[in-house]
Amino acid sequence: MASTGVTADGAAAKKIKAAPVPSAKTITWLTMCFMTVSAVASIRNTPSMAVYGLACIFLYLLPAIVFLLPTSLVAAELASGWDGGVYNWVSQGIGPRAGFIAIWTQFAMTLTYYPSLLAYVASTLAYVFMPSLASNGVYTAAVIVIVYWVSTLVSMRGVGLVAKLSSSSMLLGTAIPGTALVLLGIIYLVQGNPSAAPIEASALLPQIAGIAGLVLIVNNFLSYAGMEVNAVHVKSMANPAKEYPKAMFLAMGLVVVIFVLPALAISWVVPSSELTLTGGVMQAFTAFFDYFHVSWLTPILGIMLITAALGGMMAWLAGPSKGLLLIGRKEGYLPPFFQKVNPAGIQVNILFAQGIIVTIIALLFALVPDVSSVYWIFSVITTQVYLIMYFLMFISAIRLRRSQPDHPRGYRAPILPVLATVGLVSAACAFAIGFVPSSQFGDGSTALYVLIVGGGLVCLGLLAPFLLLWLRKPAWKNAVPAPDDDEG
Amino acid sequence: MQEKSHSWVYIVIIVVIAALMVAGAVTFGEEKESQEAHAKAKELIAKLNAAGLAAPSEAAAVRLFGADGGRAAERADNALLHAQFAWHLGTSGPASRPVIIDPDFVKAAEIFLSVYAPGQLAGFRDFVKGLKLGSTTKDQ
Repeated sequence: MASTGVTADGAAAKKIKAAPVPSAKTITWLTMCFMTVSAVASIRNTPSMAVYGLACIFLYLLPAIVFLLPTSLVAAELASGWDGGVYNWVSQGIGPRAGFIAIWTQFAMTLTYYPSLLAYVASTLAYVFMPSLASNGVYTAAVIVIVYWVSTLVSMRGVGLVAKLSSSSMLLGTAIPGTALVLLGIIYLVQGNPSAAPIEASALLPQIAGIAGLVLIVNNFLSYAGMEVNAVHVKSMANPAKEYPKAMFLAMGLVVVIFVLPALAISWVVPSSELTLTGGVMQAFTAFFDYFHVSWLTPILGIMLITAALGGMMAWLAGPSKGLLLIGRKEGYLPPFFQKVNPAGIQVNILFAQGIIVTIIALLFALVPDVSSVYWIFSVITTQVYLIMYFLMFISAIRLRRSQPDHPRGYRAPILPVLATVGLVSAACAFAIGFVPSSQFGDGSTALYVLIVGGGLVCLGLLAPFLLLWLRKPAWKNAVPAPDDDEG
Repeated sequence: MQEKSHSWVYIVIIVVIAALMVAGAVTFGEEKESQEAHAKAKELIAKLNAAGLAAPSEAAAVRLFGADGGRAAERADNALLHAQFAWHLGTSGPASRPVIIDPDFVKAAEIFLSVYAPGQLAGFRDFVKGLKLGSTTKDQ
């Protein structure tokens, strides 16, 4: 595997001492697989997909073929040949500046993801203990800030801990309840009850005509976003060239199963009219359990879903920020302050800076109704920004096959140019759909919407990283020496 | 250098999760059957049918919504909940973004509030009147 390690030099290196980091190969292929599933999949939105009945198979399988498969196989090949994750793949395939933009776009997306994810955690907790709290801004802000910072402090204790927690949370919060939902659904049918959703050929396809159906289908491509995020940790695997692809193959299958089967099970038991009426994820689960007279399971499931959400968040906390550190240090794109790592090898100052930004965003989101009302548009912008990373990743994969055909790879994806092209086209479709106004924009001008989303995309996805590239100083390169056994 | 043992972290997390599960199971209340709950359920079903929408059974409506709408009616006119509504109908995950909401979803929610929480109906209507809607489901 190509090394991303660098040697220590420069005056700044004398000021900040290199920190020792773990040399143990702490991540097994199964842990990597579960971490990846944890970062991507959950069952928290299965009720909203169950509304579509049998058509949810189409809604998940089509995106799996055109987006999940290319993303996973391309990432498997690249990670089996080059360490460091997406920043290094793009650096090798296109150039270091493009590599920095790739990891920046992945990192920038997470800034709006954490508050919305933790708002979900807050509302689920409220549902279990005191429903009236769900609409309380102070409560929501407090949960977001406290849980976020506790998670950040825990993740600073090392990638091994993060790997164990996120993979365990996937088992507890996704695999176990998902299996339970499917088993209950099967029992329901075996007992001779009719399926609430029609099981017939005509129900296989969703409502495709019209822009709303198209938005729903293409947005589902993004259900599978994030399969590549843990590749930054391949150096923590004993034999990443062989083990990472294996982890990705299993993760691919698990992600599809986790999305499709529980949604189908719910659609068999709970009529779509009830799913629509209940208006919330937990209410829909209550309706499901109610059919089996085990509604006491609802709060337990709620806590499990929260565990899964937090485990997934920890995988994201540890991933993009690590990539940012690695290229920031190697190419000198980040000031020395942000290159500092703690004794566990974790990029503490990047995580602190990220925490401060997330805290500000979260407080505005939870406490200022005007911000709450427009928060959805930030998620649109950051998703568009994130798609830039996929463009760069797929282009890099094609270029690396040509520029470094003999570079050792533990796995070579079949028909990679075709796969990467399909992935590129899918990402382009998702990108184009991102400019279609969603419900919240109402009757506003489409041109204005395109201007807002496009402006945000340019500012966050291009101007911000270019500003950092422009401001960089030669002394920043390797300002903090990389430990020999840096896991990334 | 090996990573430190984190046994205490695991123990704390396991204890917190277990405590929350037990506390949740103990405090989680079910909707109670009552004459009023049955009357509201009948009203809901009649209104849904009149609007051409599928309706749940009376027994299910009683169990889920009780006499006051239960958790589903909790402050439905709140801005923060509306913000989260944007994600509810789309996919979950890091790159999730809002979709174009099906008009039947909005119609059903309005009818629900008109039965169980009429005081919140005006606020909800204010929210939905600005929404662009589009069909994503087949008639069943």
